Amino acid sequence: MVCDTFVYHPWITHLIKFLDTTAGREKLLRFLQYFSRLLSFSLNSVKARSLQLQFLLIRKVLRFLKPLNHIQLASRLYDNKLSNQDSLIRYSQIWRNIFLCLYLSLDQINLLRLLKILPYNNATISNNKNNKSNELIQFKISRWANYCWFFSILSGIVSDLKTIQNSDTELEYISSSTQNGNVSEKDKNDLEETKALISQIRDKKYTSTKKLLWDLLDCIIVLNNLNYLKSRDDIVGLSGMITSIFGIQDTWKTIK
Amino acid sequence: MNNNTLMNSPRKPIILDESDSKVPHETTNTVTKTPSVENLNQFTNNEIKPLIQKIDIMKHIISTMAGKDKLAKIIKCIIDLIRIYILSPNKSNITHKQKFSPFKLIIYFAGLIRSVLSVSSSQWVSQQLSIFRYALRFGGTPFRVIDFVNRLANQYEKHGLSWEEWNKYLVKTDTLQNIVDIYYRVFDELDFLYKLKILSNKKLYPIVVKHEAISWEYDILLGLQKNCKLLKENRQKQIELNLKLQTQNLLLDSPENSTQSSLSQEFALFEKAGAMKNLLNELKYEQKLIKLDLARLSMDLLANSSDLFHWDRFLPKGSYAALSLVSGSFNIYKYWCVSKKQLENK
Repeated sequence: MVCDTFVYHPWITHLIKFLDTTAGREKLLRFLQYFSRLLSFSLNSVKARSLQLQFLLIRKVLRFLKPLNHIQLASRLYDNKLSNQDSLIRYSQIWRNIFLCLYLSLDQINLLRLLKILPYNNATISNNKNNKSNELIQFKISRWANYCWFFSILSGIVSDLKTIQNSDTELEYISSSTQNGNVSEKDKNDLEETKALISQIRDKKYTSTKKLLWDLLDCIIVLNNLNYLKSRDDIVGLSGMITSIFGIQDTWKTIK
Repeated sequence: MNNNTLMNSPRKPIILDESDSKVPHETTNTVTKTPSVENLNQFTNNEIKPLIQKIDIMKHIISTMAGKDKLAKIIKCIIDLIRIYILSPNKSNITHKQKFSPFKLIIYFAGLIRSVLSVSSSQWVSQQLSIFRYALRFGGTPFRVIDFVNRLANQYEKHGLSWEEWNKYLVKTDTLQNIVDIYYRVFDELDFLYKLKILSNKKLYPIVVKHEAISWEYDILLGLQKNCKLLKENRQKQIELNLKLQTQNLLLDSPENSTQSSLSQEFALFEKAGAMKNLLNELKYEQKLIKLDLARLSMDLLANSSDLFHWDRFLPKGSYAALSLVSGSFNIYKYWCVSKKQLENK
């Protein structure tokens, strides 16, 4: 039956599971948020702009206490001194997580501002002096948050570049040892093992390259937030959409 | 229908399994694996359970969507109550009449939050939390509708258009629950679209809100009926098992048994008695969850009925939020118990 095939299709089951996870829903909302940004610019739509703010708010609430995960990850990476991982990659990942933790913590303050728990606009504060100093604090918090995000991206880029370089070196070493004829002496099993190793390294390189592209696209967003770039909203929206698709793909893969 | 109340009403709790699929459904299936004498062997192992700290349970609750939804409901109700307190003209009298009481402490706490939250901001926060909860629930209806259509098609394949069979099928609790669930979710999602201002037909909105409340009422009633039935079955099973356990203990204590039976037989009897005790504990745990569910649903029924039948005119202000808060507290306590068990079994 067609209905049966559709309802019990593994893809549909996977989609339902994906929508039932916090990470999945958050990534989807991020995609919708940047899509609304793109639409609001292209169609000059007020509705799309308000939707963008709404999705942003929901995402920020969903990310509540997420900084804890990053600080835990950073401490785990720091404690994991015995691993064979490259020290540059390890430290850049530690810094990435620390900056992400700071970014998300400051973002929670921003959430309180958006929820109007902290002073938000002129109407909430009567005194002009207070008004100016509050606006300055808000501006600074938002800027610090974006700086933290930017530095986390930079750490990510360093880690990605180093991983790509390491993968290239490993691939070169394997290919040169194959050409030297060292492998020809070994039996078939060894050859298959080498092939598996090559594909593993290539996968790692592909993942890092994708991550690099992801980080570079995120850079466009954050540099615009920091006013170092002055791109149009549709470009920012588009890069946000692409990175959200990457995020959705990653979360999709992790769901069993 | 009081639209203002319904607009921010803390509605049906989220029914999600998150990544951990063992979280039972909120309204109906309280416990996924029902203990019975048939699956006794599963309860024989007396494994040492790991010590789960409260912070781990809290972390688990916050990391799941169902937990987030429940916490958001409680925070929303507290904020609503504070707003009502801020707007109340009698608030100064309350603080001066009583010299020291936990109630006064709550008032002071509310005063403290009041200094941070204004009326408008508390309303805004409440609305945003409400939208957040809607967003967590949004998206499942098309799949539920297709699944239900599929079930109807299967029924048609089996029995054709036989009126008797269809009558039996449609009156079944499961079928009714499915229908009510879809009915509720359709209007809930429409309401969310209105809240996001994607839909803007003003004539349709009161109908959507009204039907959302009606469907929620039906859902609560069905949930209550189902839980009452489950509780009855659970009690029956406990009585049966207690009787069996007593017989077993008598057999073990009898002097004839100790002289006639071999050591292996005696050991088997001991093992069986242990398994029965474990099973009894499982049933007691299940009973606790059913009772919590019943308490939650009763509070939800009172809250929703007060809104649906306009009883709020005769009740003090904030009754809806207070009842919802109690319901939310029962719900989070139940989820706490389930999460603790889940973490212990990991």
